Amino acid sequence: MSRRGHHHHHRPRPVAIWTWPIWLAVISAAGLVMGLFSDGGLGDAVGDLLLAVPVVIGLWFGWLRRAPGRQQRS
Amino acid sequence: MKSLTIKRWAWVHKWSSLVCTAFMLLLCLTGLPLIFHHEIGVLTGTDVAAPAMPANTPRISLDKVIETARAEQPGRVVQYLSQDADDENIWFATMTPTPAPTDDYRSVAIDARTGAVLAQPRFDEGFMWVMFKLHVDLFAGQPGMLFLGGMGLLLLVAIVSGVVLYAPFMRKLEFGTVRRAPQRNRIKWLDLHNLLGIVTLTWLFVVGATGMINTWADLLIKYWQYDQLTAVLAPYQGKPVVPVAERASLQRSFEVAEARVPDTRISFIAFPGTAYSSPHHHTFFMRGKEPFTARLLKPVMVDAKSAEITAAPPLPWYVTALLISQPLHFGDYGGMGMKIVWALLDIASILVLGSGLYLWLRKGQPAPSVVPEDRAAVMPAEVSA
Repeated sequence: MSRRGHHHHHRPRPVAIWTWPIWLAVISAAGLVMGLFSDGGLGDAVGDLLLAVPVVIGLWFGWLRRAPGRQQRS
Repeated sequence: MKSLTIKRWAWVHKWSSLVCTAFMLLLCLTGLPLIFHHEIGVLTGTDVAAPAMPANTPRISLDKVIETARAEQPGRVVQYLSQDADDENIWFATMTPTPAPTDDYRSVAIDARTGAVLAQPRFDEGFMWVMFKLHVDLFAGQPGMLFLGGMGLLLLVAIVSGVVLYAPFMRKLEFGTVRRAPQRNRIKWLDLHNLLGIVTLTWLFVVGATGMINTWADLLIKYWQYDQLTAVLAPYQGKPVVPVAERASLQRSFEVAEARVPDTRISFIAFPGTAYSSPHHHTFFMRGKEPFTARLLKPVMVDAKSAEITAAPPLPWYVTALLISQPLHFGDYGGMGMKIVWALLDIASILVLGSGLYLWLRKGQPAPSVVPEDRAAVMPAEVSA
């Protein structure tokens, strides 16, 4: 089963499955709402950063993590 | 989760997605340039700009503004007079053959200080217009709009069922696992579908839900008028639309409306007989000055003949919801950073839709051997085949 090396034998428990999705949902929602209550300045910048988190996470796990020069993980 | 339950959710996910995917791909693709409509307008020169003048330059009377608009477009009536969201020095007059809703309109941009005609931009032609119409109503008017709203609802069902299926799929995998192996393209895209689906979840749900709500805009406004304005308009029953010659000064009506709701600025004025007013009123839609209250409108109905206030009805919750839905769908309430993130999330959503379609098309392939035991729990899509 484990194709990812000897130190990954455990399976995520049901709660663990949702840890990342819940954080991503909270961060995205915060980013969406923050911009509504700010007009330029810090509020907008923080909102943009929060909203960019899901994009970065998707890029990292989807593609960048196995970029050339890095150790193949899968 | 029991395998029968998974099977049912998989069925819901498959069909809700299959029906709406083509339309959602269209909405994602046409929405992409629409995110940057302002920037594209500046680049292509269709954006209207007012010359710089001292901040306290006096503004001309609104009566003069509409007189100019009528002179530019004889044979048409003023439906709406709106203020540019980014520049208070420009009025946009929407000119149509009659006060009834129509796609046949001309815009006259008028300098609020000099009364000069700045431009007569055509918003009803060109690439961006085609993108806009495909995105909003597929060139099919109200029915097209409601149809896309229905597709939006299916998208929400697909998202919810997709989240339910995420758990059995990921039971044996760490977050973000993408299994890559030769001849295992389907597995790779299944993992990417799950990963991108879960990271775009909140954004796509919000954009989908608010887009769906936006398709109900006309219906909500009509219901509001029926629900709350019937009593207000009772004394006017049976009277025709107030003719232009009998209308009171627009400037005076504006000042009366402004005085009623201090600390606001004008968003737009709806003329008698148009969809956002009554046959007997100039309705002034004022907005707040704070970032959030600027999204909300305060209508003031001013009798078109007497220039006296008839009513300033509070917005019902469903119109408030509609108004807050708009920025959350357009992604235009932040700066350039937000627009870029909006575009990236849009592209990620295209990948989710495309990979979903691919997974369905390639379903006939032999099941991969990566998940030997308890296949039902890990590969629900296979079960539903």
